[in-house]
Amino acid sequence: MEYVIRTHDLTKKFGKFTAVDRINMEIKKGEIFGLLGPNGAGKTTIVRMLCTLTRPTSGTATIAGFDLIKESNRIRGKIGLVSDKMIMYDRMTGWENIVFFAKFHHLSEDVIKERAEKLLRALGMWEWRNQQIQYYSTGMRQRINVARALINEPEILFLDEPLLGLDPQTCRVIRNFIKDLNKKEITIILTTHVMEEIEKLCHRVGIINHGKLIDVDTPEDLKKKIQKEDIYDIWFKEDIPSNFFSLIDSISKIEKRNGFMRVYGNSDVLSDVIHFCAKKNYHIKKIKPVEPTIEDVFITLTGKKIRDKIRG
Amino acid sequence: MKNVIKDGFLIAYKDLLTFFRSPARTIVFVIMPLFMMILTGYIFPSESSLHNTDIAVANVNQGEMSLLFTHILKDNIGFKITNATNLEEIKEMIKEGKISEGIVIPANFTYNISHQKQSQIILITGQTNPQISMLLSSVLDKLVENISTQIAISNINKSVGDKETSKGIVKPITIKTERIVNADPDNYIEFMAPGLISMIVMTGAMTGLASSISREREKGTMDGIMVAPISRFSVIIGKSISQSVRAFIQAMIVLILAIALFHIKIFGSIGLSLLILIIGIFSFMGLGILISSISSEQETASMIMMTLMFPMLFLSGVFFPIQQMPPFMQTISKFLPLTYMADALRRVMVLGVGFGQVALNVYIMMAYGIIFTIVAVPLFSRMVNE
Repeated sequence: MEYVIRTHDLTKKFGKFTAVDRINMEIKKGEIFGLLGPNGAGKTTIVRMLCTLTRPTSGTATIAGFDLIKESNRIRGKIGLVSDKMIMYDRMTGWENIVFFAKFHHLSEDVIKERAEKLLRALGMWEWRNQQIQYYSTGMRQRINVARALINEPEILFLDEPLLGLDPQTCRVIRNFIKDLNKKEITIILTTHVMEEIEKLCHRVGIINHGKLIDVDTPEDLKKKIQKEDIYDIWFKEDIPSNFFSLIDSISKIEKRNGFMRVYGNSDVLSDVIHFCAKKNYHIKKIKPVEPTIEDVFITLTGKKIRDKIRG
Repeated sequence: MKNVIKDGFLIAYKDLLTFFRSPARTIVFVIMPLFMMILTGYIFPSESSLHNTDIAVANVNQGEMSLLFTHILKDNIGFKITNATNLEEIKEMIKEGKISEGIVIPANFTYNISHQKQSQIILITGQTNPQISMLLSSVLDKLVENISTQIAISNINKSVGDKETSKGIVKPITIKTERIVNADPDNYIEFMAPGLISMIVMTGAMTGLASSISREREKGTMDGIMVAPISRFSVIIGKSISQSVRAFIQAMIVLILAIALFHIKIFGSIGLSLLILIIGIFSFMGLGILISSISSEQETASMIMMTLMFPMLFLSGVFFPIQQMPPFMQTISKFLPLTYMADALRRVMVLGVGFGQVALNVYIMMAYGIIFTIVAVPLFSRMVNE
């Protein structure tokens, strides 16, 4: 397996505060890797270090084959960064912004023009290219932001909360765009606190809390890890006594909910319940298996909920 | 190396483009030096700004006293006098825009004076140029007062017989004015302009640079530049170029205004003045980078800047000559780059000295620039990587 990012005890301290604590992770070429964690967990600091924007206090990383500390300028040519801070100038047009940042990669004028046009068309921004950014909506800005990050055709794209505060339509455009990019073998590192994005996009997820990497796995395997029991919600036609299921051995816990029962138990629990009801002549209306979400994974692993992000 | 400079110019171009596309910032940029210049120019008005002012005089009297009076207006104050025949003609001339002010000396002027009656001079102001009108009437006031006093003294002397006693009777108290500048006692603006130019250059270079770097950091656009494969040095070059261009334009605005509005003469070489300007900008640039490197936010940067700039303004001889200050302040002023810039510029512009006489100032300014830049560059790199 080819790894495009490998970190070795990557650590960042701000004074006495340890923002990122000895992170070791490997990201495969061509994968969409999610970094999930609450506010202040250290996700952004990790991304900034990997982007060469922040120097690690200790530890290092290899990115696209180059050493983070010694060859940072080589890395810069191979990466792109989209953060929730819009990297662009309000008094310049979308086109001018992209060309300005492209020129730092020392590409020829023709290449810049060709790539800029392709990106702007793909993101649906071509007809707005000659408007100054100050007249753009947030969604339009973020599309320009994405185009800017991709102008050097990076091997690795860092997306730090790319969908924060965007409208659903722009979210969809950018999400699909990310998927398309990934088909072109671009490795994508995505930080977010939105579970949905992780489940929809990521091949693997790293859970970050208090600057530490708690676990790394695929979303499915993470869910399996925390689900030690089968869970079903069962609706009945008639009222049943709450101690009713205590007669079944395979059930470990029952919760009476609004109009249905939530049943926890081992792998026999579903057939046991069905047999038991048939025998006692109770009528089951509906059975729904309960699958854990990434949020459940997160709560199980860190013991806390992911708070909604509030930023100025 | 070629790319480092190329990237630097790209950043400078972007800075200037975005700056001048912002109408508010452009207006403030132009208004600021304009405002400073006009303010200092008129807070300290000088009679020499009446030199060569056109006024019309209708000397209806043509007597001994009225001729003396016009003679003083012309030779002692320096008005360009156009002769008119009467009040109506002067009014017509003002309406036609030929002149803005006029004076009528009535027919009985000399007679009244010699017969110890009150005489009157009529001043006609065009109201198109209030500053000149104000100056003119104050000059006339003074003149009339002086002449009146002399006449009164000689009249009283006839009965008292002692000139000193007569003076004491007519005017018991007088004022003796001591000027700040000895070179050209009448023109404070001539002393001010080089200092003002230095000050504007300093403010522009220091605050402009620091706030421009901090703004980009806070907005996040600095990340966009830093994530690209360019040298940290390019950013410093780019920011320095764009700020230098801005400071230079502002300095030119002051200079042109000083010449156009206040008739300042540059006695020295223009080329040398510009050289001092550019090296002055360079000497402040390093300090600007230094300050923005040690302050994480725009607000902190401008606070440090104000703390540094305020004493500099007063201790560098921009507004007040250093020679006036107590010795310990004079010592402080020797450590401020602005002192050397204002001094060099003033001596070149006002006294017309050559490079040899300001060489020391130029070398000191260059040393400041080099030392600050050497200290600032590693700090800047560290700051952007935090």
